[in-house]
Amino acid sequence: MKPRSTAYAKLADVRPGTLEPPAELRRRVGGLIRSVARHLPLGAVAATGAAIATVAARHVLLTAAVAAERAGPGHGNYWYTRELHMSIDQVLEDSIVRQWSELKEITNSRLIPLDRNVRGEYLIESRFRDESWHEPTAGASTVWVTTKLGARPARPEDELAWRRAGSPRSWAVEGAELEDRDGNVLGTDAHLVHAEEPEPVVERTYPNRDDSIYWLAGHGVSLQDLAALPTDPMALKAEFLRRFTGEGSEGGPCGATYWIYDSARNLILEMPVPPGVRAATFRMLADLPEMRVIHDVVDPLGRAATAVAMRNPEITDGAYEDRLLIDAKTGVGLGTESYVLERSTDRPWAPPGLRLFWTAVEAAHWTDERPEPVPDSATNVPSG
Amino acid sequence: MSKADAATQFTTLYDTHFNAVYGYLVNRAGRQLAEELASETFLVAWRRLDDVPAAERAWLFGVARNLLRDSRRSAARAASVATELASWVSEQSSSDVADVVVERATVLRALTQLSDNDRELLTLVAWHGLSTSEAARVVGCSRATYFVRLHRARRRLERALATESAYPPVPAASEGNNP
Repeated sequence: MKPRSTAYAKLADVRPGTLEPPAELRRRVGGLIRSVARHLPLGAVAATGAAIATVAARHVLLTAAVAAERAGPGHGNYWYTRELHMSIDQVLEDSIVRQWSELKEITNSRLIPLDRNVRGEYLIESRFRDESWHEPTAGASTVWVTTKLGARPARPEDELAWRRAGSPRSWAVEGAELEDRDGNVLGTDAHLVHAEEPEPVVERTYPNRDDSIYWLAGHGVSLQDLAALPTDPMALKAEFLRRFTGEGSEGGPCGATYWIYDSARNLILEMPVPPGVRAATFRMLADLPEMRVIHDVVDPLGRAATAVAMRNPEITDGAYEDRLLIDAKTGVGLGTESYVLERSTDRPWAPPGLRLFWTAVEAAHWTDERPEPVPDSATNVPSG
Repeated sequence: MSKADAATQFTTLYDTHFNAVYGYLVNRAGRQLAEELASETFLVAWRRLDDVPAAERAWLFGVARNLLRDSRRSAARAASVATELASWVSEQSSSDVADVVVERATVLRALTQLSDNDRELLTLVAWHGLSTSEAARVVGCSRATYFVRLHRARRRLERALATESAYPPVPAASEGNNP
């Protein structure tokens, strides 16, 4: 029998070859780690359990950045975007609809006195498609075509409630609160939505006042401004922060991180920026704290997507999670969604988990063709 | 430390220790998870670069070891390790003569019969380039305790090897070339 030490001594000679990383793997991981390291604040302590998710999250955004860098800039006279929008509303009670109709007949006003706690019937979702052709020079114009695609019950339970209500083809939904000059609430605007819109297509033409025709980070910017944005992620972040006032792009309080996220989302989905700026935007997102990546989701059009999710922590009445949807392999923006996390007094009818809004980007590219501008703006707006 | 200095230090750390960390993780978690875990280990190293002591490799192994404990991965890890260990036994070098191949497979098979802890103890020095004091640090005990535990693990390896040698598995018939 061999001495006891032999087996252990033999181990060194039988080291499996699989313990050596293949050169290609070593390169790949080296590249990933270095690029992640470049974008991670030095010394930040990761929650260990979340670290791998963080690596994967950042990796997917850095992949998108590389893909965005490879994309061509595109050519054409008009920047074209086509977006499909969905929003959910609560259907107001029949009595309110009647009241609204009577008021309208009498005063031609849409204003109705509305108790915010009034019970609605069920939820409906409305969709419309927006197309726009931006000609990015002063003195030119932007053509907008909006196609109202009608409304329908939002969820299966809403469909049941709708059938019980006699399957109406139009609904009154709550609009904005109206105030008088002293800030007293007069009532709430309401509007009617239809299953089939009587005049679905609205075309408008807006002459460009100057060349600042794009809206980014709370400011009008020109094509030249967009082209001059930094291609360094830290500099781009600083540029967005420079424009940060504490108020969100659609009003209301907004955290700085959410502001950067919101600006980046806008840029990725809608802006004609050079590939290097798009790439920097993805890299900047990869570095954002509180950012959450959800892998393998499906966008509203059924396209495979990766979601980059963020909360605006300044919203204290209820809570929402916004999701930017991207195709990480190509660096293309697919859309955005907003989910309810906590119920708000503003929308007491919206339960946690409800997808309240989404926008799907169907196209965003340069083109040489567009509809003829309508001579007089707002020509085709339906009367009434 | 400036970010540029930090980047240089980190690159050196990566170049020096990546292969060892990766090998350790293949041993402990299988190839399927090793890449991901090695990436994460070095990411933690970047975030805690100021905490990395002179005994860099032992520290990195300690980080990797903590990541291995993540319960979210335990099921995936069990499957990945099983695949890995099976591949060692079937892995053959064409330049080896037949009896070397058999002995190699026997030793490895004996090793794969042992517990995860024993396998770790036995291979930290033999395979992963650690000194005994570094190995003790990785498993979190004194050097003296490490030797006691290693001694026990070596006896279990010896016993497993004896069993393997006494009852060698029937070799699979090679294709179309039966003796």
